[in-house]
Parts: sequence; C-alpha cells; structure tokens
Amino acid sequence: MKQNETNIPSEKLAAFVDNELMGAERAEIEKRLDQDSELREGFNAQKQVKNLVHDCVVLERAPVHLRSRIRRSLEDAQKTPGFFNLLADIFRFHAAKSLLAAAVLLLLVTFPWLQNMGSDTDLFNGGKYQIVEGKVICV
Amino acid sequence: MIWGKKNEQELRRQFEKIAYQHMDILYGTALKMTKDPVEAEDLVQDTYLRAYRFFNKFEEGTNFKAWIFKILTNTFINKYRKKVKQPLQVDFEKVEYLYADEQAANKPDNIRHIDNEIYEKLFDDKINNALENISEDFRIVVLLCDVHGFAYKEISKIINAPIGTVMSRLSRGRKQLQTLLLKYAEQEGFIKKRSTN
Repeated sequence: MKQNETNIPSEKLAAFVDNELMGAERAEIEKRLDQDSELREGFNAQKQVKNLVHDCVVLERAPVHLRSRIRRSLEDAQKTPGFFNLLADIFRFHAAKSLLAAAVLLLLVTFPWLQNMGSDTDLFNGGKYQIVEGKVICV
Repeated sequence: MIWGKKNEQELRRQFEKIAYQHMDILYGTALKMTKDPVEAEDLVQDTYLRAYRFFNKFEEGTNFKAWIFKILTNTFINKYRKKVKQPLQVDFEKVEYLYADEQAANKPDNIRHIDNEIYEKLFDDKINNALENISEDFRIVVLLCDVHGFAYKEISKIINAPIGTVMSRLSRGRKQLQTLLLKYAEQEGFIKKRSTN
C-alpha cells in the first residue's frame, strides 16, 4: 500500500476519514495534514469518494410483493417446524406435564391387571386356572 | 405446531414489527451484492427466514439492523457468492497504471482540482456502476460503511473479520472506486486520455 512522506498507511487514513481514530493517533494525523501535501491529497481523495458513495449510491426499494412472499414463507416455517424445534417443543414444561398426566392415567387403568401378574391364577371366563406339572388345569 | 402456539404467534408478530422496517435497505444491499433482482429477493427471503429462526438469540436492546445485516452478509457469502456470475471485470492493474500515469503528469494540486470537476460531471449511475464493479469483499465493506454508516466495530462483527481487515478493505475499495471513476471520466472525455506506453 502506497504511503505518504510521513509514512501514514492509507488504512489509518481511512479510519481518520471515518472518525474512527481517537486521542493521540487522531491528533498526530491532524498535525501532519498541514505539513504533508501527499497525505492531504490522500485524505481528500478518500473523503471525496466516501461522500460520493454516500450521496449518489442509490439503493433500490424492495418490490411490493416481497413482503407478502416473506410473510408466507414465515407462516410455512411456523407450520412445519424443523426436527430440533419439534424436539424443543416436546420437552417444554407444559408438554412434560401432559405426558405425566397420561402416564398416571395409564397406571390407574392397568393397576388391577398388574396386581394379578404375579400370581399363578388368572381370571378367565369366570373360572380359575392352575398350573400343575406344566399343564393348565381348570379348578 | 401443538405446543406454545400462542407464544410462537406473538414471537412472529414481534419479529415482523422489528424486521420489516429494514426490508428496503436489505433488498437494496442484496441487489448490490448479487446484481440480480431474482437472486436479491431469494437472498432477502433466506435472510428473514434465518433471522426468524434465530430470533430468540437476538438480545433485546442491541442493534437489530447490525444483527440482520450480519445474517444477510453471511447468507450471501455462504450460499450465493458461488452462484453469482462474475461481471465483466475491469483490469485494475491497467487502470491503476493509467491513473499512476495521470498522477505523474500532473502536480498534486491540479489533480485535486481536476478530480473535483470530474466528480461533479459524472452521473450517479456511473458511481453506482463503479461500486458494482469493484471487488466483492471491498464492495460489501464500502456499502456497510459509506452507505449504511456502520461503525468499524459493527462492520467487523458483520463480516466476521478483524477491524484491521475492515480498514484495509475500505481504503483499497475507495482506491478502486477512485480509479474506476477516473476511467469513466476519461471515457466520457472529461479528462484527456493518456497513452499507456
């Protein structure tokens, strides 16, 4: 990068033009601008281009349909959440509460059946069955 | 969605309220990046979708414009940059040589004087054209700084690069712009053409 007589790089000059230099660094360039014509020239050139870009560069406005297009895509994204979003939803607190309630209900329904699981008898057609020497005998 | 539908609706309403006010500048910048209206629309849509997806990570009270510009820039770099066709590139070595020749032939004071006259005569579309023809990395930084007025620190976060890189790209971008503008002025006959010999 080309430097001036006082060896101030143009990067630093850019920062000076953009008011990004503070304190001693700023004061140093301010002082040298009066003495170094090459530095002054570089400063003017950067300032000029900066002002031109700021004043003359035109940003096109978004087309009218773009807003509704984006709104639709946001709605679609909301309807079809990604895998990780769905997982996050499942583990939300109120979801966990619903799961717990369902589990308790299931336990209550299956409780009588579970109670009989351990015994060697079963309620079947109103009668009792016993297992004797590997055979099921109706009592 | 079954759970948290109300929260989701509220989040989207909040997002739209903040985000839509930046749509014009996002589109304008996207168009300067991609140079194609269809690509620019796709880029802005992708930016909004990503921003919405990560909206819960946006810290309230911080600069939303800088945040969404970071998403726009990253989306462009990661997804669109490779797709964008390179325009007719200017041979900067040749142009800079011409400019150096111009400088050598004039005293510094005269150069400044001529520059002012040239810039006054050049039309806005030439300046827009020049911006579109400088290197992409430089163009993004010049746009962020000189058009949108972001501070170096913000630009550094947006483009994910150190402040030194921002400074370097800015000064080199402005230099390329100046060179191109002089070339246009030469083509328009505002300044005398110089031989490259």
